[in-house]
Amino acid sequence: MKKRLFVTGATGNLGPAICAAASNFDATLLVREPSWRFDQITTVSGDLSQVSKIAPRDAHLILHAAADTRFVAPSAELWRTNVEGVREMIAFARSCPRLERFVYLSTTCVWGDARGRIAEIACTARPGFHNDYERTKWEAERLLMESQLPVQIVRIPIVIGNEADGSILRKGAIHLTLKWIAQGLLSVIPAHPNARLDIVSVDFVGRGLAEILWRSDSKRSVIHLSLGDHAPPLEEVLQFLMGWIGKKEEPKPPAVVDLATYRLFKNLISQTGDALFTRIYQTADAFLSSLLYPKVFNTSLAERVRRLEWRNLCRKVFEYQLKHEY
Amino acid sequence: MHSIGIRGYEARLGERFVALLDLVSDPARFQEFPGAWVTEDIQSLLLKAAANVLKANQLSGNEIDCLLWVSAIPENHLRQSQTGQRSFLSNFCYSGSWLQSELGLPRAAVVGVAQQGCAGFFSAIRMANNLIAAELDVNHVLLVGGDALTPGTSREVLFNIVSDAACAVIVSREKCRYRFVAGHQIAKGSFWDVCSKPAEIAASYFPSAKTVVQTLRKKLGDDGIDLVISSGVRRSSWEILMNLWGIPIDRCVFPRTSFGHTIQADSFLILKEAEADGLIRPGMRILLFTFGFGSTWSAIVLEATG
Repeated sequence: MKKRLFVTGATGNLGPAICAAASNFDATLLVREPSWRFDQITTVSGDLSQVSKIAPRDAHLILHAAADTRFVAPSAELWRTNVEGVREMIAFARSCPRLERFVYLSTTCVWGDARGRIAEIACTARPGFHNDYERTKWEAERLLMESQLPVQIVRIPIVIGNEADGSILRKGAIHLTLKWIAQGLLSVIPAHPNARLDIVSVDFVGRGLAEILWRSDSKRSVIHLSLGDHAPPLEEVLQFLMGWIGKKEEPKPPAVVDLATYRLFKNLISQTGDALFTRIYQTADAFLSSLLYPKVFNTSLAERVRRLEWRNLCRKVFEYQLKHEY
Repeated sequence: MHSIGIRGYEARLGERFVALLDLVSDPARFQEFPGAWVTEDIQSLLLKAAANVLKANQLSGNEIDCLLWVSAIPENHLRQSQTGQRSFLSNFCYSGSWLQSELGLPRAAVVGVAQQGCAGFFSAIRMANNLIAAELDVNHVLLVGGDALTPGTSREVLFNIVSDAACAVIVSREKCRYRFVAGHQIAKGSFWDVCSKPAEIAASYFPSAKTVVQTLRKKLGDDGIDLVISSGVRRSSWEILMNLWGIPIDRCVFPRTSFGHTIQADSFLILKEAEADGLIRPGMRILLFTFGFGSTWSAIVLEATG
């Protein structure tokens, strides 16, 4: 008999990955709209505040992937979904007598301004955050770690698209950043010389989640589903992007600068009052500022999950973005 | 090592000062600029600058082998015909030829330098240096450059205020105050349509500025830049440039009074102040950088000879 799995977040960017991972289970998905249907998967409709009333209590596994992943969004909205949402899920999980594991999809961004090699451990000391998304996800992890539930936190880095055609349901800060770089409008990037860009595909996350959900013997409470040591240096990604643009038009490589220079640059934008650059850097800043704090994530499980070579993934994403967005 | 370089120069702002409040609708964005210096007759201003530089350097008109007329604005390459008529032939009433006649430079070849935007003067300095190096009978090249905005034109250009100014430089084979060491420029033809891509050009400013100076310093074979002469554009942009180039900010000379950007004369207006302030010492390597619409990023290195 298949185990019962309750899933949130199946309608977001990672929806296809989550559904694929859930296919081996007797799964029930939480969806906001009753009209949303998934082949051969049961749904219940409602939002996170209603989960205790509508979700099946016979779940052996919970996969909580619903989140507000906007880097630039009102703080209260992020808090409501990412922190209060987890609080509701914890209450629901406590009411599930057969619960074996509560898998929480988190982000490597919870490490904020930490630097260096990051172990697969709880982020107990509160780091400095670059945006409210990081802060609310860190708060959510803290609630879960204190919950005494059989929690497994799966942290993923930036998801940039799927492996088949590079598409993504909803663009994030990185997609806008890449677009502006390609257009030659985002020309000054703050980054540490050792900064890496840990980027994964929707499919990679799906394969990783399937592995995690299927392996009932896993006792590890924190898992990084990221490229880890295989994450490319930022400079390499930029060179690759410029080379790719160069086949179509003259590339305009951005200048990678230190924090002091970046602050001067933002001050200059502020002085000029230019509306376009103000908007671009306000949006991009929520993502870019993290590049000043280089990290490499240990990945115990991700090493066993097949990954697409980052250049191939980027090529597909760039091509998709060029066709549909740039 | 050759000794070709700048023998003398003269730079002067427009005669009339217009306060910032009378120039822009939102002066708060331009607080570092008190206003702009304007002229109604840029060609007369250029004539004065050129005559003065010849006199100050004790050169007769007969000794000038070449005259380079530099202007960013196409109209400034033409002088109105004395007939007052506009016809096909009036397209050939060149300002450079008029200046040759006014100054009395009978032996000078006359060449116009255009399509470089505000980088035209640096190109002219390189051309003059190379002309003297290549042709043994060429000893003195007079460079005259300047632009004035036509009345009614906005003086707010790419986040800066623009003043009118004239500049005249003599590049000679010998007796130079500043030896020409090296120069480099990057031209990006994809930015030819300045009207349609102002944001892209502005965004490209810093990365290209970094590249042009990095390349120039590689040519030099060492990093020895003792002094950087800024321009009249926003001071904060120079603070960024100095960081990008990895040169300490205290090596950058800023204008005492911000006159804004003058298209051709910024570097020499500030070099003049640096000399007056005793900042230039023999042997110093001095970096000059500018950007011109069109678009060109240009940098030169001079060595003070004392």
